[in-house]
Amino acid sequence: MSVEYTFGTYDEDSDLPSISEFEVRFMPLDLVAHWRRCGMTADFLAYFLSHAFRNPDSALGTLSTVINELLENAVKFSADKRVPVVLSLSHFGEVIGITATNTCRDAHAERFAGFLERLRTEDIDDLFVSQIEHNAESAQGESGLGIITMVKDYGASLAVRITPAEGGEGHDVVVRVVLNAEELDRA
Amino acid sequence: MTTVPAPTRTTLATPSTLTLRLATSTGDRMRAEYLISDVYNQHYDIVFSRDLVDLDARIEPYPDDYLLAYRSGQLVAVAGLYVHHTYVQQFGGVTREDIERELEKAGQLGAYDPDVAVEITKLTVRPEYTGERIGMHIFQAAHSASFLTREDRRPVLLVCANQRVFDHLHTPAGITTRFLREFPDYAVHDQYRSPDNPMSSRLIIPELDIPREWWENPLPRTVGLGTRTEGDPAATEDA
Repeated sequence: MSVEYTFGTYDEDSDLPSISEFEVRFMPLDLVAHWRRCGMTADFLAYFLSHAFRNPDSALGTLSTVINELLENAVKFSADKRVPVVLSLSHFGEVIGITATNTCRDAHAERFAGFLERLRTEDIDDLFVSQIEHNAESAQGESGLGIITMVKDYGASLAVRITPAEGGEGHDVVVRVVLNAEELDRA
Repeated sequence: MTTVPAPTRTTLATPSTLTLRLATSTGDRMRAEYLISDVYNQHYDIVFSRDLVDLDARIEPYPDDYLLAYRSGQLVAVAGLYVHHTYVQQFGGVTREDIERELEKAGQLGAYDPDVAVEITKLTVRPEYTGERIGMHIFQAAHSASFLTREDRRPVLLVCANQRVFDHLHTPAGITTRFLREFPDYAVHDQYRSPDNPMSSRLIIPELDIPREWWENPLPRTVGLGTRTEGDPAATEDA
């Protein structure tokens, strides 16, 4: 089974020169073995970014939540916990791009593409309620509630690209969230 | 006798325009701060912080506001403004009484509040754009009411610089600077000052000491640039 799916305007900020960049590679196993490291890493990266803001404290919460969401998903859904996930932050001045890259199993790629298609076509509030109900009935941990919340409550612009893994097995997943810097500064 | 040829001033580009405007967004301020950091670090080995300032450890505070100069869509120069805590008051030992004394001498004590002061700082030109008089244009625009005043702010202007800056920028521009104090020694200034080029803190009473045409210049505005030449002033013209 092969999935090729693109959600959102994937390259919307690619022609802007970034002012600031930061990239971290993790072996997912390191985070699976010590889950607290996800939150610690998200807090650290959010703190790193927040210094660019006039109101760092107001930006900190949103940045940490969004980074944590992307990082946890990338780790959780990595097929091989020894293949690195990459988290990169780019500050373009007006917007901040946070990108997580990992390789997942084929079945997850299919389910994720299905979820994104619903996100694209359905009312986000209805989807939110539907996924809460789904979450109560399912133990799979793939509710997508975190992603819905990022878009719904944090004004995040979401872009995802799912492609067959270059190495062979599974699928490469790139999730990019773009946040408005001005809104973060006065959040 | 061998004759050493004089350095040539090479023409590098066709005339262009420079747009001067206030920084208004998070992105504007971030670009300004990264340009200042880049140039000051290269020239003076200085780093910056908003909350950890130590002049002897070469860590400088950022300004509060910025004036930006754009050429062909690129940020090429910046002037900063301390609004809340001026550098000369925080580190130069300048007191309210020093300012009051000079205002009184000038007969302006009732016209200005010695407690309301701003300070132009970190005048920075991207090194590859020196030689187009961009530094002079942004220096001029930085001395405008549009940059220095707000509805609720009619400040005196403070400045800290070495003697050469006063001699080569302020005096030829017709800006009067009124001596307040010698600036104390800090490691951060060791590449900027010397015994024959001392640093001092000075007062500028805007409507008395700044040429009227500079003071009344509006922002934003676009000015024409001359043909670019090599060999003009360095990228930073202020501490």
